[in-house]
Amino acid sequence: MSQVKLQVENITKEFVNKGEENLIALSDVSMSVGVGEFLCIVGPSGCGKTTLLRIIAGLETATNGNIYIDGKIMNEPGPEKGLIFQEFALFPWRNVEKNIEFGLQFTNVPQTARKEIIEKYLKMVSLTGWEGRYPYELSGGMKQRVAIARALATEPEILLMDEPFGALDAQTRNILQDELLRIWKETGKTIIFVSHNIEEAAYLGDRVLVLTARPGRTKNFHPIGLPRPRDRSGSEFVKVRESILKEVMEEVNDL
Amino acid sequence: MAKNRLIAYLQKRGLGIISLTILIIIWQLLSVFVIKDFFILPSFSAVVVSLYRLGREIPIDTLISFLHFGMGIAVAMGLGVPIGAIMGWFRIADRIIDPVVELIRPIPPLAWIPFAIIWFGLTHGSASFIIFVGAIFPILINTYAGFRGTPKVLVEAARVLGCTKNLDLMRSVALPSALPSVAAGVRIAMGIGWMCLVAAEIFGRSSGLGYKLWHYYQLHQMDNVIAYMIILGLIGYLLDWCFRRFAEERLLRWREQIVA
Repeated sequence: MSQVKLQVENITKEFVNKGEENLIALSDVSMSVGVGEFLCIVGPSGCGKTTLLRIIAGLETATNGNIYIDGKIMNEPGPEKGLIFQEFALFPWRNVEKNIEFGLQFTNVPQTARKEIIEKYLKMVSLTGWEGRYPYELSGGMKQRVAIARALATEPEILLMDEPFGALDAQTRNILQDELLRIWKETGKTIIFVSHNIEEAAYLGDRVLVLTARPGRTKNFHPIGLPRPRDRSGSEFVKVRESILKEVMEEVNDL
Repeated sequence: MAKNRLIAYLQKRGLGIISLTILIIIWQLLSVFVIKDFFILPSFSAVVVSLYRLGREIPIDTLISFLHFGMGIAVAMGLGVPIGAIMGWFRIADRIIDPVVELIRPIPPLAWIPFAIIWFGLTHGSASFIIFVGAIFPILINTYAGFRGTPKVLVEAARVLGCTKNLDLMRSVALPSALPSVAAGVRIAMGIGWMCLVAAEIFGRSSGLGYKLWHYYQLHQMDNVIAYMIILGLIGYLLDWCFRRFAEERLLRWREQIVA
């Protein structure tokens, strides 16, 4: 692996429930993600993959363990990581342009430079001309494009994606997967992508991490050695997909 | 073209116009032929004449009433929005302030009249104070509900985009998200404030629509009383209409249900 960008070290997460037994969502999870790597995380539902991503993002505090970025502890939200939500999370009172501008208002980007940045990322997600539209006027796929542009605008080095295409129809999802790969190649970001869709994970990732059933532990890392663009129906792809699926199913059946 | 539009308008409003006309006819007949006492029920025509005769004082009274109303609402917004926002955003502030609010809120605004007079004298201030008392709670409570109901995912989206300070989050996320609720609170407050206006002005000694209504009652000029009642109703309706137009077109354009 190339240089390490992000390191997850011994992360344990326990949710304290009053009167009930505490829920251990993650148990001693460690991993390293390389600079520019595309890592996908899959696992049975409830295995804590979203929790892990939220801890990396800094939205959730781990009970134990630390997150390192470029070797430095980074447990809070910060400009080096951007997060994309399944539910898009666009600000409905802001039009497309203003949504993308949001993060720039809280970094030291001068007003004059913002326009250029917004245009650049609008173009990157193929939404030039939609600046003035409000979120309610956009389809799900377009909303997620705006959310991606918004996250990219502050130029984080790491992009965290929490089932970003889960709410989209199959066709739109496939298109956005290809767009995401293109953007990843153009920008060289490090991407951590949580999915419940194994085909999606195998199609996108350099590696696919399978988490165990609750409490989530790292079960296995699958390097997907296939060249891109990957052929979803090719025999090698199907083989990789099946082996990941088998591991996930083992966990599901254990429940 | 103009004729077509007139027809379309009549088709839409026709029934309303007919029912209003019938009401006016019944009123006129009842007053002139059945009750025959203009002190108990002045006729419609007498009220129309009063409205015409009062044409000069009504605008001045309206301005005075707007002064009372405007001051009361402005102070209610100036205090109600920040207090509601802080209560909605910080749990600890909610626990501290809420008991005080719940203690004072059930007191009817008009029960404050004696203290309004003692504190502010028979001035514009005392009338404004009563309107303020009537208006602050709907604004405060709706602002509170709006802030508390800020979608968590939007707050999280803002935080990962670098908006991490409470003040920034309140201003850039919670306030715009709460705006529909705040606007609804202001609208209710304006309705209540306008209803308090007459009582708030009755005990004054200057002028204003409510004051004049009471003044003409004491002179037993009931046609003038009805004239002022009509003006109060009409302005109350227009205030609400103007606010709704403003809120929907300027503030809440992003809401699907309104734009569509």
